[in-house]
Amino acid sequence: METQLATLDYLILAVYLIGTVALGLAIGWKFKTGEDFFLAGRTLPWWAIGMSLVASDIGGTDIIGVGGAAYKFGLAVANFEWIGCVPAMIVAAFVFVPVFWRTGVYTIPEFMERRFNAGMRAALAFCWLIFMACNLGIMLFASAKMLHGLLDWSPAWCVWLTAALVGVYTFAGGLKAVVYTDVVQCAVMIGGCLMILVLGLADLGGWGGMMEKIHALGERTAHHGDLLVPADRDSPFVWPGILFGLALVLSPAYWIGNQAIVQRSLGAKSQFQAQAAYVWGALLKVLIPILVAIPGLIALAKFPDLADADGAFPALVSKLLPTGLRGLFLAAFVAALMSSVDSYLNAAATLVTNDFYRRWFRPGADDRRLLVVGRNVTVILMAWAIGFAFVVKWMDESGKASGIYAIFQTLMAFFSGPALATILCGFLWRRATGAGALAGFLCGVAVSVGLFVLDRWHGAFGMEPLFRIPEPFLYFSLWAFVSALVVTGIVSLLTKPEPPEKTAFLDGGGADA
Amino acid sequence: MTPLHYFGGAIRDAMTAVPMIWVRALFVGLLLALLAWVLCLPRGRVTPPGAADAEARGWSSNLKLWAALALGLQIAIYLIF
Repeated sequence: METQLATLDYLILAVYLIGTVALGLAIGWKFKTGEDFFLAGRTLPWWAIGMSLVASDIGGTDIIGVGGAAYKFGLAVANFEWIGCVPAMIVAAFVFVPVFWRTGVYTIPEFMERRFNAGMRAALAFCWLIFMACNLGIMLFASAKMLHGLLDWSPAWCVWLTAALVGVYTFAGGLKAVVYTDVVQCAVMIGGCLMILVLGLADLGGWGGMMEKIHALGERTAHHGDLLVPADRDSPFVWPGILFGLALVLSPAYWIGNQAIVQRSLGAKSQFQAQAAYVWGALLKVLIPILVAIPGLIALAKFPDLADADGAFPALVSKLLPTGLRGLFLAAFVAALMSSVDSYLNAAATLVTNDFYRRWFRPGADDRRLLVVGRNVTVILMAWAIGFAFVVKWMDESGKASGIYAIFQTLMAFFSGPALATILCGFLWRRATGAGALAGFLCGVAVSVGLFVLDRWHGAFGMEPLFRIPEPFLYFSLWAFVSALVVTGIVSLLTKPEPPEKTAFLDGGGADA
Repeated sequence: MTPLHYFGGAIRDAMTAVPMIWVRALFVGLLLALLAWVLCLPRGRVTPPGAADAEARGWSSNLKLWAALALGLQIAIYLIF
């Protein structure tokens, strides 16, 4: 899947990378407080946050992976960006984000302590931190592997390069650098993918020409143009999973409860700007599948016999783009890689500093101290991520990493469903108590882990698989959500109601908007 | 086969029996319901604070319209594909 690059391509890539790091450093040099570092001093405008939301959500692995999934399974993968994003972002904009912003919290776990108790905060922060720390290493390794495939650079060198570039500007500029570099990365990413789309469709004679070629491939591609897939089809994107697992659970959990996503809206100039950012992001999201999924279909029409579906995007880059534009696309790809890693790095540093250091060890730490701690934690987390990336690399090379990416995808499904259940109870039901929320959250996590174990190692239990689709993480999250909801309800009714100040935010309480 | 398998099998059979035209109606119906909710939101929740500011900026500062546009595009997509 190696792509032939000329000196001009490398030059464009180098200019982009140097420009990104310089922008991050220029933003961060005058920071003085922790609020500057973690929430950009609450100065971010809606347009920057909206573009950052989209850039952070679409990683480099997504560009390659979504294109590959469209090549293999058809347009149904676009559900992840359409019904799997837009409705949840709209609901978040008008219901949840205004409350988060008004209460003045730094993190979602901090909000959960205000609504429930310290145990709920610690449990949620712990789950997110474990996930983010592991995911940073995985993202670094996955990025290095893809850069190696495109450029034939050593994977180890790619890990160091990505970590150094992202680490430097995230260390210096915190959330503000992350958001403004994301703006550039989002624009470059959209531009790069748009080139592929336009040139690819023009080459095939438009949408009609492309679908004609795909349908001519026979039965295996007969439904590649369908967005909705019947429940009995051998596809990971069947409609019950998409509707009940993705649209109603995982997607709201992601857009409402993911610290790496929500944090940038907490740094908005005003409550209205935080809301506007989410609506702007939802509008951009309508565009994204057209840019990343349809190229997979273009590749299918042009190269129907690729051995590896993930080679769809690189094949298009090699065949469609001239010198110079290849460098621009590569910059778009690297932009997508960096925008996801920087968001998780900054969010993880915020969790450690705010929900562990300030909450449990130094409650009286001043804002300048928090800035120093936040930057130190960023360095430590980046070092951890590099180390973990090399562990994953070793496992991958020794054949011990079979399914490790899917496991880490599943890891988020373990707790995001239960987290959403407790957030919803906290917002919609005044009678929900801290004990109920914690019990529900822990029970939900136990249910999803239990389902995962029973399904993955069903042979050891002398059983058939529980689910009949590959990697059924959408279903884990659905059942975990339902369990958490039920247990939260029962335990809340059996325990003493929370005092009225815990739910004052529902009546418009909190910091001034 | 455990009770979990029977339970899962029953749900899967029920989902498989739903005609795809109903499935499409369900997806579009959910989006329409959300669109109706957005259109019914009070002005105070979808415009910047301060009536003078909101009036000066006109319709472009009304988030309801942009959210409705995003949802309208979604409805069109799920009707076509």
